[in-house]
Amino acid sequence: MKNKITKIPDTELEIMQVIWNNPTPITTSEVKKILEKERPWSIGALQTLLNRLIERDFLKGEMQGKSKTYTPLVSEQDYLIVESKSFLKRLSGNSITHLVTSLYDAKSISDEDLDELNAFIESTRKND
Amino acid sequence: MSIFFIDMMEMVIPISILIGVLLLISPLIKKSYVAKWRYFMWLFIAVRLIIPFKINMFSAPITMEIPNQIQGLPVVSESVMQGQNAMQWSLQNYLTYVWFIGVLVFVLYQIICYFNFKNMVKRWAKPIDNKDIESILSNIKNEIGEKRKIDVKICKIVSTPMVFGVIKPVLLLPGIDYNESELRVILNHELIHFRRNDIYYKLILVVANAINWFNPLVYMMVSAANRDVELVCDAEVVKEKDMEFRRHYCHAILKVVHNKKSMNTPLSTCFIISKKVIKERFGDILDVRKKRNGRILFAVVALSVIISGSLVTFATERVADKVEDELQIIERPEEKPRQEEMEDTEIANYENEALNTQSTPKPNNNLTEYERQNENRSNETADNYVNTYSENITIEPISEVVENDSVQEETTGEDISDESIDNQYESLGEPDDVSTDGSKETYNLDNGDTVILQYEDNELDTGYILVE
Repeated sequence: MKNKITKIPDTELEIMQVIWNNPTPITTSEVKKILEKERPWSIGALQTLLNRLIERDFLKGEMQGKSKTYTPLVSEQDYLIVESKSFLKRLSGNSITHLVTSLYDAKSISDEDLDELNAFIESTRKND
Repeated sequence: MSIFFIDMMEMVIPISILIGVLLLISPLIKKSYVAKWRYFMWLFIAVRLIIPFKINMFSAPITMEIPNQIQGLPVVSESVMQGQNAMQWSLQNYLTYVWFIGVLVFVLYQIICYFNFKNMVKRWAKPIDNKDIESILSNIKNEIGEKRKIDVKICKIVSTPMVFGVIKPVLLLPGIDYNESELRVILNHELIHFRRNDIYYKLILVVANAINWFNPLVYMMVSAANRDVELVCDAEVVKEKDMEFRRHYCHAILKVVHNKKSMNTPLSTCFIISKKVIKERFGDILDVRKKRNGRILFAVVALSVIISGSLVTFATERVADKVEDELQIIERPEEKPRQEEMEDTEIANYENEALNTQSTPKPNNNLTEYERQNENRSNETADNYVNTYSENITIEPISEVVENDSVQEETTGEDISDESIDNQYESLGEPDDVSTDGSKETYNLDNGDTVILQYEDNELDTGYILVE
């Protein structure tokens, strides 16, 4: 992967999500079939977008017999981190919007702290 | 807008003190009181901040002297007056505009953040095709008695389970790598948020914050309130549950924290603070002792919130508001009287002029002008109605203005007008108009002036002369 991972448009993301969440290498017609569970796609548009993703170094395309297959070059986790990072940077910090109620909304925490908190929960057992 | 601004500014100091005290004492008493009382306390204060309603149970014990600059008192020498008034008024207007622009920026920023996040969610959210989750969901909904529909979606871009959306809330899960019992408590937590309408609670806090964007204590209050929302929700989830359930619930939260960790960048800091916050939260969840509901505490604080707006009054502005109620129209004078030519018939014109130089129709000068006259008279007789009760109107800076050298130039004119007013108002006769509750009497005088007397508890509270 030579280029830096950049944010991709909605439709390309849709295709990438299919590729990430299904066994790869995957053929164009398989991608189309899964995408069409939600809405109809034209094969031409799909082809164009897949080629664009190859250009972006998100995918590797290979001819296997008659059909072309695709393998992701960027993992979903890596991409998520990039996108959420730029997102947080853009919106300055962790408080994205106040209008959510999240289960946990604070900063990250170290492994030792996790262990300590685990011990803290378990320490209540002896008082039972 | 400027009236709202002044109403709000009057509350800023007492409410800030109150928030400060609450923030200081709440950690001390949180062991023995439930989080709910704080939850409602913040809500109450937030509503108070949004609606700066005035409760005039008693006259304000503290009267704030606004520096002349802001107050826009009529300055006496005309030439000085015009220049200074323009400056004073522009300062008050200036502050109001700065405040208003601040509110706009804050609101706009919040809206942008909201829609940015909404787009992001839309981009990533996928419907769940998992029958298990749906059955757990409907189970919990029955359990907690929630009938409204809520969509549950998998949204990998979020790092913690959440309810998002003001109009059509949606429950977002960062993934489904939770086992069934974990999923059960996580969904339980979020559905209780949904049932309690906590998004709207937070919306009220954001609005209060927007109006008070300049006040750091309000920011502190909002973040404390956001924390308490979670604590109240936790308490609801583990209500009447045994220790085993509570431990399980804590472990589920910890798992969310752990998952979030993998998403976060190494740039995130504040490890210790967040550990402390979680530990306190777990302490709360694992604490099965009975706590006080804090009703009395709430009542005490609520009462102080209500009266806090009445503790401080910006003297002139307050009275000015009252006069503004009475006086709807201010006429523009035909011409500016020259100071040397000033005769007693022109005094009234002069007063109107004082008003009109102040661009905004804020007729407090009628009163302050009148006050000034009163000050001049106060050493003499105090035998007419208005004069007697005028002491109730507190406008401190008057004396300073009167002592000012430039006043002397005008006192001749003043005296004449005083005497004529004294004579005219010697006997008011029957009131021309009495308000329904009898608290306000209006007298129309022959010369076109109007005298208004306001009663409170059958005692004369304030009196004004509105000069035509």
